[in-house]
Amino acid sequence: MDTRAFHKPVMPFSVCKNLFILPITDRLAEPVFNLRTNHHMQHEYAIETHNLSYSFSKTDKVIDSLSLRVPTGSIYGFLGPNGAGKTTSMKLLCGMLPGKHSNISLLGKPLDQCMPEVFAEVGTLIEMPSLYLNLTAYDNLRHLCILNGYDSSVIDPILETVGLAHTGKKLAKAFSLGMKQRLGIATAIIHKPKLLMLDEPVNGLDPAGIVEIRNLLIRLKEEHGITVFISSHMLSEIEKTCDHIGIIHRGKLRYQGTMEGLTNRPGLSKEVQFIVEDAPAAAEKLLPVFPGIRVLNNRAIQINIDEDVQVSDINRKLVELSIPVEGIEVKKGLEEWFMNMTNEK
Amino acid sequence: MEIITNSIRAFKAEWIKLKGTGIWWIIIIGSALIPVISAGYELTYGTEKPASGVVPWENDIQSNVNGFIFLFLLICILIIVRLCQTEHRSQGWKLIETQPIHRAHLYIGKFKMAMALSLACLLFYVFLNIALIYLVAVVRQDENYLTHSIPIGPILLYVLRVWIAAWGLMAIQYFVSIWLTNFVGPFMIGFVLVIAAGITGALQMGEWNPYGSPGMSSEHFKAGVSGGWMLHNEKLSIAWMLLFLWLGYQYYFYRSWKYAVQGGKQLMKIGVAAAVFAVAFYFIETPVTLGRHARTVISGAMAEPDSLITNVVLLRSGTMDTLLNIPFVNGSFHGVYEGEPLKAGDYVIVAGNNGTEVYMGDKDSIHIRWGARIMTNRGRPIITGTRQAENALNQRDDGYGFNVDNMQNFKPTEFADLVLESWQREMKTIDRFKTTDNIRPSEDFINMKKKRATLSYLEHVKVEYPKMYAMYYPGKKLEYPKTLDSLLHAVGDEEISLLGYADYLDYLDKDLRYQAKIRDLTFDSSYFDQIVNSNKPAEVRNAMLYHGMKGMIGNYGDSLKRNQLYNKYIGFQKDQYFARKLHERLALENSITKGMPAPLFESESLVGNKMNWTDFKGKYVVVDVWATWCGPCKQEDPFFQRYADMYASDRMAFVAVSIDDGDNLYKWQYEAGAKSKTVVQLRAKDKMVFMGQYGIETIPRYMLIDPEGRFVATSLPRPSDRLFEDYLLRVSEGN
Repeated sequence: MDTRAFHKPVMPFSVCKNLFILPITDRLAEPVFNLRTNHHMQHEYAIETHNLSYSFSKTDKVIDSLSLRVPTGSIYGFLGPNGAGKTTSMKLLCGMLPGKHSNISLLGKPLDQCMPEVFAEVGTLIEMPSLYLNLTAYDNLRHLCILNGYDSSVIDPILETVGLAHTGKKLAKAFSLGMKQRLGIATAIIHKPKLLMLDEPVNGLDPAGIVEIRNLLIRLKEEHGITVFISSHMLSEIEKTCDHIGIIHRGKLRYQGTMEGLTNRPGLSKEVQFIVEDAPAAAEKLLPVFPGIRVLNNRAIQINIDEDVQVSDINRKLVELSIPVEGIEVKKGLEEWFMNMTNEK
Repeated sequence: MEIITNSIRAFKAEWIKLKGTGIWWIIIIGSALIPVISAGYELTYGTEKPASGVVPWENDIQSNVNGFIFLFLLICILIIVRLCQTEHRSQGWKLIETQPIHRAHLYIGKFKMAMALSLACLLFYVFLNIALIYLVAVVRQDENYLTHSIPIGPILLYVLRVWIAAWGLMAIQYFVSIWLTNFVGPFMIGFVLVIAAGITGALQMGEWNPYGSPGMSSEHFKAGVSGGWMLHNEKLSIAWMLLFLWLGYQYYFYRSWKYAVQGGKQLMKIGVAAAVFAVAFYFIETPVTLGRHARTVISGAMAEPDSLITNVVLLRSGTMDTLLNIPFVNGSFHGVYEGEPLKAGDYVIVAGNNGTEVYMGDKDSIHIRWGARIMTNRGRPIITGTRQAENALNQRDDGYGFNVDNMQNFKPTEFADLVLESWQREMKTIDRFKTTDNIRPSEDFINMKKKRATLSYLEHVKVEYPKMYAMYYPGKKLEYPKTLDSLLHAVGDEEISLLGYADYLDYLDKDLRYQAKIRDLTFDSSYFDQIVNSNKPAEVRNAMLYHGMKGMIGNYGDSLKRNQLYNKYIGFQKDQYFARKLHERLALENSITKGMPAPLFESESLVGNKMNWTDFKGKYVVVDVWATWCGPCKQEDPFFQRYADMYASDRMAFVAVSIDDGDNLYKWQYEAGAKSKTVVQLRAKDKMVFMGQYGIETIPRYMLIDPEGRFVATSLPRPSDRLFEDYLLRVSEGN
């Protein structure tokens, strides 16, 4: 069993790199971006909105007083259930919806004044990836190079990075969903943007692909100081990738801040899961000492943690009882909290 | 400059997106379809070689492109819809609108690609045509095509014009294709508009429909007869393109109609564009009337000049006075008239066999191009210069007036309605006339045309119908409805400006005869008294008198009566010019009158022998004056030949005198040689002298000469007429 999958990526990057990036480096290409000096100190927030509102019809407000603050150089997760307004918000941020919005700024500049030049520094992937189905992956990227004057030599490395180097003459219309998604990401990063806005980037990818992309995004942020703004409806994915989070529900921003701030919220009950061979038996044995122990299934027992009950205590007890511990997972209780919040009226 | 770089980039980006769209296949197959099939047909079944004298290449290219227009329009529509589909289907707009390149470049770039593809399609079609025509010509050894060089320059200019004419509809199609995201919608709209253009074009209702513009341009290989390089419908197409590109961009920028027309600024943008378009439309479509020239100039050229032509003459129509004689050198001529200022009216320009009627006046510049049959106005010469539109309108006339069969079936009100409706329609057609260069004749000319066109209507209303009515309903008074007043007052009895026209004088004559109850072709005192005693203005009286006396002289075979009447009434002819003309006419007629010796003239036989009337001394000679290019002569010929077979003897000879010359000589040799030997075939060596001496103005002409070489009759009835045979019988029985 792979223990790495359960580790949170909060360790220093160099350690991460050694631990789990390296074994996969043969799948990833050399970094394609040159190290640049950090210009980001000019503006604190890569994306900023002030009470942004939008509605398609007179009655329904799709976005309600949204005030986003995406710090420069962060990986910001825009989290919300389906229909919360994530995609609409992102479309607004990219200037795709009609109407003038003076309360949006990207990279420190008001959106309605810096379009379309700002896209030289911003890469986007909104909703379905926009591809020309009658072209190959290479030609799709070449189209962008021709349109914007980039050198074609950047195409092959990018294709390697997203894992499409083998597609050759295959036309985009024959791509699987995952391949299309990868190509969409490629079109967003080909010009080395300072800000990446991706709408559900791992949508349709297999687990290996999800990890690849996650690691790519992390690398972009760490090595090149790129701000990454991703939206998702999957809490677990955001937990693993992002250091900042904004939670949107029914068009309103419910929480905005760091991941740590979220996990350490008071009132969030933490739980720990132990994977053992015979959970009911182990639970029975632990029950006298830890009354709050619960059996999840044949192999997992769970208990709330607080100041009194620590992970190490339980672990020590299990070892004492000679019950082999096969896995330990600390759950922040985020999921429960998230479900509660999004079930509110 | 950044704008140029960006627009080039946008265009190149469109290029790479063409892969796999099927657009190249549409262009290649669509363009190759017709040429390949028709070339294959030509090679397999083969048709006759076209007659010599036809200008090759130009005519073929023009008619082939004209036939391609419908398919070309469909191809253009398909290209544009397909180009927009590549964005609609793959969310492409989203991608390119989040690039750091301005939307205007993307919008224009795609349109430029559509324009480039449509031009490629046209060029491909034309060059394929040229190649295949050349191939067929090589296979069939057609010298016409092999020796004439291909006029690449004019062909490219022609293609360019047709392409520009398509810009308007392409912009509209682009506008629709960006707005409607499916395939069927824009395509059907385009298709319907193409059909609509065909309908309005056939009804001559609107040249303004941009979908009909390429068709109009394709009908004219050269833009303007007067040499402008763009027709007005092409200029209009550019205006349409600018308008719809602008409107389309307003929608495209906001991707929503709501925002495109919201707010004062947006409404002003659209409003101003519409206003500018309306102004441009007005200026382009309003026809132009040409002014006068500095001097009175006649010039011209002949595409395949006859080597026998040495000069060109300008004659006054009707009287055939020579006004100007210009040398004809190297196939062209140029002369300046410096005599009495010419009155605006009909004149004739004659060069060898080519006599062309021309409308002109003082300080007009006239240029005539006689050319090969095709490409020149249905065989007629092309007249340009300051009176271009007038002459074009004249050439358009088929010469038929208004006519109603079985007038007795119409009651007066019904008849009046029929006449009125027909007349108003014709007046409108004349009013609306303009050339392909958008030039309109002068107001005076239009008024004159309208009046003259009205004459046949007036004749029916004032003379023909009343005659019929009096016959069918004797005693009943004919009452026309009041609505006919506008027609009745359209032309008066004293229109000085129309006195130069024979049809007006004919009308006055008919009217006079009807009022005075004098029969047609009666030229006696009662008739002339009517004219002389009428209280019309002097000019009108003089003109009518001239007209009447001319008719009398030509129609009275009895020279005694003729001279009597002449002497009685010539004093009333106050116009010196008319008087002189009548005097000349009388002299001529007297010289060829019965009993006068038939003038000798040089003629030669089929084998080249010189002949004259003296060769026929002792025989009556029945003469047929004809030419190979004369249709009515050919119709009468079988009758003449039959009578020749029946009545030719050692007392009566049948002679056919042809006035063919120049290029038609070999034709005469061929046709005359094939005729029956009972008719002696002669050719007048000097056509003009012969016709002048014999007063021959029209052919066929039949004459009878007695054994002493004197005239018996200078104008026999036609052989198809029973009276002809009567004449022959009388003569052959020794009368």
